[in-house]
Amino acid sequence: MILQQRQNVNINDNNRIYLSGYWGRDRFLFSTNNGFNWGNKTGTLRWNHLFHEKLFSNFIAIYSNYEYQLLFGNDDENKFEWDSKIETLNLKPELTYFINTNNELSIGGEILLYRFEPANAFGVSDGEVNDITLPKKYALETGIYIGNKQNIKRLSIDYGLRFSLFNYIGPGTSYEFSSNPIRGINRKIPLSESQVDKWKTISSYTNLEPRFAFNYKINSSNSIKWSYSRMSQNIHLISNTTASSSLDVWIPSTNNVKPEKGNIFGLGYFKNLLNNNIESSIEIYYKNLQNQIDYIDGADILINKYLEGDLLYGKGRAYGIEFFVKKKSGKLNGWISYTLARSEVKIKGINNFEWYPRRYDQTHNLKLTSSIKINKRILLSGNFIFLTGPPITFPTSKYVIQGFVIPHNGKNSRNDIRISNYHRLDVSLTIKGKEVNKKGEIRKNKNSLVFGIYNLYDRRNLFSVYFSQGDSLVTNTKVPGQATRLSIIGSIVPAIGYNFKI
Amino acid sequence: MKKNILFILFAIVIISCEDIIFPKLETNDPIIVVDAWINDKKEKQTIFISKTQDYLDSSSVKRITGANVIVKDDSGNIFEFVEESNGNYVWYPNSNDTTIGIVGTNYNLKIEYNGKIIEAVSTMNRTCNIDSINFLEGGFPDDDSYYAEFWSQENDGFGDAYWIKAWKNGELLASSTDIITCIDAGASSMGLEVDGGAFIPPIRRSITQFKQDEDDNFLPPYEFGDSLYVEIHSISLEAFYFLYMAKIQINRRGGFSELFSVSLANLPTNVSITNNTNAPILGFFSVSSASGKGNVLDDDELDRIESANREW
Repeated sequence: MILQQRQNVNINDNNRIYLSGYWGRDRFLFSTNNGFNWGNKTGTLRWNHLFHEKLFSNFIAIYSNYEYQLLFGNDDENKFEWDSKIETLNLKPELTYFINTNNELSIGGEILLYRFEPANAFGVSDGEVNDITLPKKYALETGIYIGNKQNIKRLSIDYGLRFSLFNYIGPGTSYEFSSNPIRGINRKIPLSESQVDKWKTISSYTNLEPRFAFNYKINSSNSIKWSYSRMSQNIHLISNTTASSSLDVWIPSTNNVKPEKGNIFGLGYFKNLLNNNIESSIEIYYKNLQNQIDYIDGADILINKYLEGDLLYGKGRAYGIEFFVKKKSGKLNGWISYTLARSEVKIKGINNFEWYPRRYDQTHNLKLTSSIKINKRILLSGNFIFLTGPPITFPTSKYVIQGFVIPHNGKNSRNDIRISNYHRLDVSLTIKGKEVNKKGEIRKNKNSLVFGIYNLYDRRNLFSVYFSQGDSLVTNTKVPGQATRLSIIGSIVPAIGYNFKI
Repeated sequence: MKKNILFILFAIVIISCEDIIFPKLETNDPIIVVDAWINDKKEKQTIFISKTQDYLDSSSVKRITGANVIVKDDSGNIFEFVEESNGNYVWYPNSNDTTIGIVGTNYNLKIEYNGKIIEAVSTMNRTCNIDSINFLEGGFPDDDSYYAEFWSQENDGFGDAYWIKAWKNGELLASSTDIITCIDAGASSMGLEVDGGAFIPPIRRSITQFKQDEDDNFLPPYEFGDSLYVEIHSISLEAFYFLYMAKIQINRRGGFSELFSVSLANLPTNVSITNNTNAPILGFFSVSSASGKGNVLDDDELDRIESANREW
């Protein structure tokens, strides 16, 4: 369910206020007391003030609250409730000064206050309450930035610098862990923990984020773009599963978790052909990333106050080349894009401390979209996609412990096998409703009917291959072990859509 | 006001499908595996020694024969495990009613095989007694289904770990969903404080599993006439984490649960080849203290369910 409200107030010619609010909540209840739900609330206040025609200011205040809740149980005597919340208050004053037609300067500041409630949880067992709430985490980020958009003849430059200070603050509990996982329990152990008072800094990080982008117009149809930026990220998504879910955990940078940082370089050549009817480009990029997060094997992510000790850190890199061609007008139009890329990480404790591809690494990514106008009202569209299969980890061998079949990878590697490539063709036929009614007047309502076929040639694309002992048990003559391939929507899917605007 | 409304009628909603395949897997030289989980029960104790085999090779376990296996405690008592059959090394309590085990004692496992000396250490921790095994009125999948829970007061103090095992009609529940472990009264890590008192419902009721038959129909967890026997085995934190990771690796139920699965990863081991520490070895040595209790779902138990109004 979603509620949305917007309000604009023009106080006078020089002052405007915009207010907007959003409230959304999704619920999955299996029964009254069992299920989960999550929701998002945001409120934004924006005050626009014009000092004079070349100088104006924008003051933005944003509050947001993301929360989710899990419920189990049959009655008040026996139940389990868990909710988790992230609240953010963001204040952003900004001044924009149009120095002249070739320079647009902006200066601003930012204050962000975060409150994380990782788990407010309690279990009631036969009337006995067990509170397992984890301490809240607070963080304060302050930043200032300056930027300019400058035009020098055919060259336009957009450059800026942001300086920020991220403080992980009290009240809260800070933990110190052993620097390496301990053999045997295979995880870092907590060495000490201390209580920290309100507003007191536990750890702080300064981040300098320069950026620039040069755009040089060689002539009316050729241009070159060159860019660099350095980014820091202090809020981290913690998820060790293949897909992420609405119940994922977010944590701030702490004394254990360092900001994720990256340098991003890009270089592109853009060319328009046939009277700008065709746009084309080639771009290359390289990213080098620090403090990338991965997980110890068997990391416990939910309701674990020692979560920071279950994380591993390392570096990452991603690079690639992208080709893009788009035909914008005419009876037949569409675009094609192709990317050759690699995204890898190197983390102590995984893959023998050698580079390995991320789960979403795609060597080849080809996308083609095209549509033909058959007549004024009928449009035939097609969509083709080809992706290199994701890398996953296969076992080499297996052994039996207490009757259970344990998979083993003799090379201790990660993500070194590719499952089969993904490709798919979708087609659709759109029939637009008549634009004029019987009387010859233009109709107020616009509608269209869409017939589509997803996965036209019925390709069975794989999501994953997993290994298990299935339903069989170990016997004197047999140690079960099988590979199962899994597809999600692994077949042709017809669809009919009806679209109308009032 | 402008509204944009889109209706979509899918002929098929999101579905998943799976089938068994036979990919060519890389092979690996066989590695020695020690499967040594012993306890203080007055009965035969067995240590299994074997080798890894190729993942898709479904033949029997490759047992290692001809090893010398002993377990020695702090006070110098030696328990000799004699090869009874191919790769199964056993120790029987003698007539004095001796058992392996005094809580708080350290045990050393020493295996000599083919010039290799294989060693491991484990401490026997305290367990807790089971007060009762109760059957409860069920209702799913049918009216004659019954559920079960065990009641036990967990030891006060952080850092105890347990492995709960259940036997239905004398048969150990041994599918991948039946590995039930916890720290203290139900925590899944040391970062969660659930200590003392009765085991929390997810653990207490973990002996009730909803399994499916070949046609994916749910089976009643318990029916009239069933017997149930439950044991709590104390384990070390190392053993807890070993089983925790084992559970993640082997409990692959497929379908949409694969969206939230984690990458395949090797399990740790507490066993090493002490005269060649670089040589690979797998498996685990654990010494537990065990306590158990049983119950039968008979007419008397039905009376008790009714009089105590036991419900899930």
